[in-house]
Amino acid sequence: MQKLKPARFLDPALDRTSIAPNETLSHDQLITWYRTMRLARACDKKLGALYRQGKIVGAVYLATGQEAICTGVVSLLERNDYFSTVARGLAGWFLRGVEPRHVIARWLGRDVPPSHGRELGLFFADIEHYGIAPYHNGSMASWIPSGAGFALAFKIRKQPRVYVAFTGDGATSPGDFYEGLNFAAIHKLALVVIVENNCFAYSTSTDKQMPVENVADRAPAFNIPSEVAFGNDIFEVRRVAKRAIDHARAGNGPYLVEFKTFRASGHGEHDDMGYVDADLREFWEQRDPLRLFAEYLDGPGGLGETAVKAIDDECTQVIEDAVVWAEAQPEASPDTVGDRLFAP
Amino acid sequence: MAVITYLNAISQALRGEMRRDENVILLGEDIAVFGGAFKVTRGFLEEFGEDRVIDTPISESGFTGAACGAAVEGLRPVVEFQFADFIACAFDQIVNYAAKNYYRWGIPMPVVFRGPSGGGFRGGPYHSQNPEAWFTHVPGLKVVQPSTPYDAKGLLAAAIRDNNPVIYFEHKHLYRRIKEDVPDEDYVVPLGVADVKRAGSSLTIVTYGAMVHESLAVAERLSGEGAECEVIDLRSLSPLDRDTFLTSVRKTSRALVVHEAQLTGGFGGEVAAIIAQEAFDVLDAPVTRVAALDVPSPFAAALEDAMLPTQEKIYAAAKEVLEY
Amino acid sequence: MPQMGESIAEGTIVNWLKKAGDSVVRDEPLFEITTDKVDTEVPSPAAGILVEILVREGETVGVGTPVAVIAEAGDDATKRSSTEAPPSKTEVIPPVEKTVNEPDAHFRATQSPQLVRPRRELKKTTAAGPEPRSRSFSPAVLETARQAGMSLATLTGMRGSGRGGRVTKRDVEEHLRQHGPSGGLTTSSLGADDPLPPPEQYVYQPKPGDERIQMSAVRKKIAHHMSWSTRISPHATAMAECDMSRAAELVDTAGQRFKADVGAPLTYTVLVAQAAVKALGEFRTLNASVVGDELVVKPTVNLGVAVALPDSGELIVPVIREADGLSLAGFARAIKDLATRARSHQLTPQDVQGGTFTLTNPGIFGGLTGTPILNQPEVAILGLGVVNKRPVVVDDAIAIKPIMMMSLTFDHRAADGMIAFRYLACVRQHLETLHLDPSTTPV
Repeated sequence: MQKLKPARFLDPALDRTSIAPNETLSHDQLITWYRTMRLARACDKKLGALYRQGKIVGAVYLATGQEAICTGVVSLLERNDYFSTVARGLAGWFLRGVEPRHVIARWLGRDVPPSHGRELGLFFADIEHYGIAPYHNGSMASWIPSGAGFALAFKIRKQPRVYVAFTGDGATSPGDFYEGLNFAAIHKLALVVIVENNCFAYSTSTDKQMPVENVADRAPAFNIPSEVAFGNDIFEVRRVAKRAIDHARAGNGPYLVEFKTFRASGHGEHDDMGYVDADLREFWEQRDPLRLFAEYLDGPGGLGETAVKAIDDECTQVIEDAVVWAEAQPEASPDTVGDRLFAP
Repeated sequence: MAVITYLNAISQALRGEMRRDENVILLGEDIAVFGGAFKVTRGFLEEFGEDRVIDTPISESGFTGAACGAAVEGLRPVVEFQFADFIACAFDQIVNYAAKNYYRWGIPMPVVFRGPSGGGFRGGPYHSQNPEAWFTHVPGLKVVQPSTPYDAKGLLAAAIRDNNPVIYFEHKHLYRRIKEDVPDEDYVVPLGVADVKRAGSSLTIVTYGAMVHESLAVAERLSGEGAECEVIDLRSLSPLDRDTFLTSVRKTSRALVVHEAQLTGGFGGEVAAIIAQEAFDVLDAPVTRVAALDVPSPFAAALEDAMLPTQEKIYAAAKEVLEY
Repeated sequence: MPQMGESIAEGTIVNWLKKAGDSVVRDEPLFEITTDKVDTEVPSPAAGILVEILVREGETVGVGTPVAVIAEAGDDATKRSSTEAPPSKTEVIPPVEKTVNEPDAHFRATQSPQLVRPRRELKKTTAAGPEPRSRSFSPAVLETARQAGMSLATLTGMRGSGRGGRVTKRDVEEHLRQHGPSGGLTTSSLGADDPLPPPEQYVYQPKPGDERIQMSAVRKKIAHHMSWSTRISPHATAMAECDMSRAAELVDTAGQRFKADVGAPLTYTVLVAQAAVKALGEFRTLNASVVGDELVVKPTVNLGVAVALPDSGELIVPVIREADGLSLAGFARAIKDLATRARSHQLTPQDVQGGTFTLTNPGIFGGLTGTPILNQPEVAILGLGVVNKRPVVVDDAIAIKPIMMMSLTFDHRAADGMIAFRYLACVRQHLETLHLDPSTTPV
């Protein structure tokens, strides 16, 4: 088996083991983002356990290691901007106010909105309450075209709103990636595509996925700007994503950002990641986004170890309570299986 | 009232709905500047502007997905596939996104996909197909197929006003051949309601699309021979109006199902199965289907005629059922 | 007029570039047209003289319509080439065989069977098959016949108007209009196990205040048997009076001794049973069953005797086996035995099976007579009225005699009135000529 070497994977220019903002941020902001990421991590850990306990029917897919990207990007969005992501962007859902207990209840197949047992916890859409737009999961490229459609509606209505599609390295292979970006670029639509390049599409490494070094190298085909950045540094995520969002909001068309990161758990929890070299894991463990963020808060961020620990403990407790609540929710009644096929 | 073609009726419905609701937009290849490969949208760009009449790149999945997204955001996009054959390129967006969205999230997606379908004019394998059965198999999609200008106008208006994805197959061979008096004002033909195009008591012919006209011609010929056929135009395949054809079969005890699409896995099999199950006690002859042969649509005239259901084939099958 | 695009049905001549009499070169622009989709020049399909223009400028014609005639150079007027689009599909419906019998052997060899088969079927099915189809009936035919009570025999006997003589629903309706449901009802009448519920107007809707009594299992069985019996058989009842003077005398004078000797009472029932069985020896077709088109005559008489159970009033019919072999004493003992066991509910299933003829006695309740219902699958049942003294005319004088009315219900499929009345006369004869000494009564 060909194993990826860290040196081949992460450009030295992106490589760092400590992080710091280049903007003025309040403690409240820092705590909010850290807590969001930690909540996602705690939730994932619990979901992994629930899966191993047979509580989750079907598979479970976690976001471990990718928390900084969605947190950083969503922290920049206006309330009426839309984004779409699978559960790899769990922290992004949380930052928009989605409750952990609802997320867990959905993984358990309980009768909670908006899917009422019809969709697994991997997916989530609720425009009305959270501005999280519906997408489909034929491939993770499938919502680049629909994202262009949301942005088309914004443009026709002359609204300065942005749609952000979070997707992955594997999703840049299907035609929808091209068709969606092509359409958006022609019409200069406010579509920001965030590619979380986490080294693997299921088990297929990026060198088997694409003939280019970076996903961002594909952008010239659409004559749109693109950037490559380090996705485990929330401050860098914010720096780069801000340029992308501002560009799109200003009516200049789509923007492609590729964040290098690492999927620290399997494709799903049924995947033991036997195809990943131990060196690579170790390399990324040193660059875990929560570790980097916590070290910053402990040190230069000025929050202190105790405060960080308190947040961690609180998040663990929130998730424990969420599980209790979720398990108490009823399963969807079989009588409802035929309901809501068509909108009135 | 004015006598207009089937094609004009589609244009009228589009124009009427675009005037009625500013959320209605059009997307498709060559629809704006050129007015569409069949000229359905001739003059639309001038009237409604480029924000609402959008020439797309050749990327069916891309603009279909975009239409779906825009529909979720409250627009009412009408997508034109230049030929229904090319809808295959957008299959994923239609069956995996549009069809399932409301069931998954309870978020409506009011989008219409227009597919100029059907053969009979030497279009060959990629300009002649009738792909309705690909979609009637998918829960969450509505599928309609008008046969007359009146229905074409009313069904399209209803499709655009519906809050769900609707696939609207319009038969190219009817575009300029079929004309009738159509009200000038807006009206709708409700989705899911079949129409008795000719009443009769000897045999029920269940059909839709272009085959309605072939079936009516056969019914006329058989009438001269003393057999009165009832011709049911389904108009909507999904939702399906079972009652109308079941009521008819209970009257006639004999059923012939006719469509232009290929036989195997065609929608006629569904109709035949429903009749067999729901009206078994009244049947006096085997439920029989007339459809295209199970081959791609060939180009050469002799081959295409051999492949398509023709009046002769429908007549022969109708006689078979009548005389059984 | 050429077809300029998939959906184009017609075109308009805008301009003729040649006039009649001009010579034209092949592919030389000949005229201009406009259609819904394009405006274009049309090149000449042939070289020669433009003999005639058929469609003038400004005229709109359908695709495929000839617009001009070109006489090819050196040809006579009969060889013309029309500027015509390829024939449209309605004109060219190639005979099916033509494609299949294409001389190209390779083409034939590579034809997939799926391609050829539907055509062959189509051809075959358009001709009426000469050989009759098997006698199977469609659901519609069976349902229509069942609702009308038409028998399977009738249906089977019909010649239908369908392919190969198949009976169609319309044939059944036509038959019913002309003949009604009959043609002879049989025991294999349709839907024997699933009678239709009666029409609503014949069903009483219980009202408050009515007392509703659930039928017992026996009552339900009786109801079922009686309903089916009348559906299966056309019932007719023959009646005759019988002078029971001799029987009365015999019972009066010898009854005591008979009972002491035999252990069972000598009753009118016993005497009539013997007479009835004796008479069956002469009228064997009343000791029979109808099966299809056959009358099946039984070799012995198993005599059913209807017994009313005093507690419930329900009816049971135990059977005296091989009654034609019994003496009077045998009849008396058998009847006593069955009646006793019936009333004490000790009959076995075998006791009530296998009857070939039944005796019923409404007279014990004072009834003058009755019209019994056949005990299927038997074809006759004899009912006995009360024995009453009545004034009768004997040799032009009025006399007082004990008279009994007998009624014989018979299956009119198996027998006619003549047989029924002659049978009753025979029974009467036996009863009116009884020997006074029961011991001398022939066995």
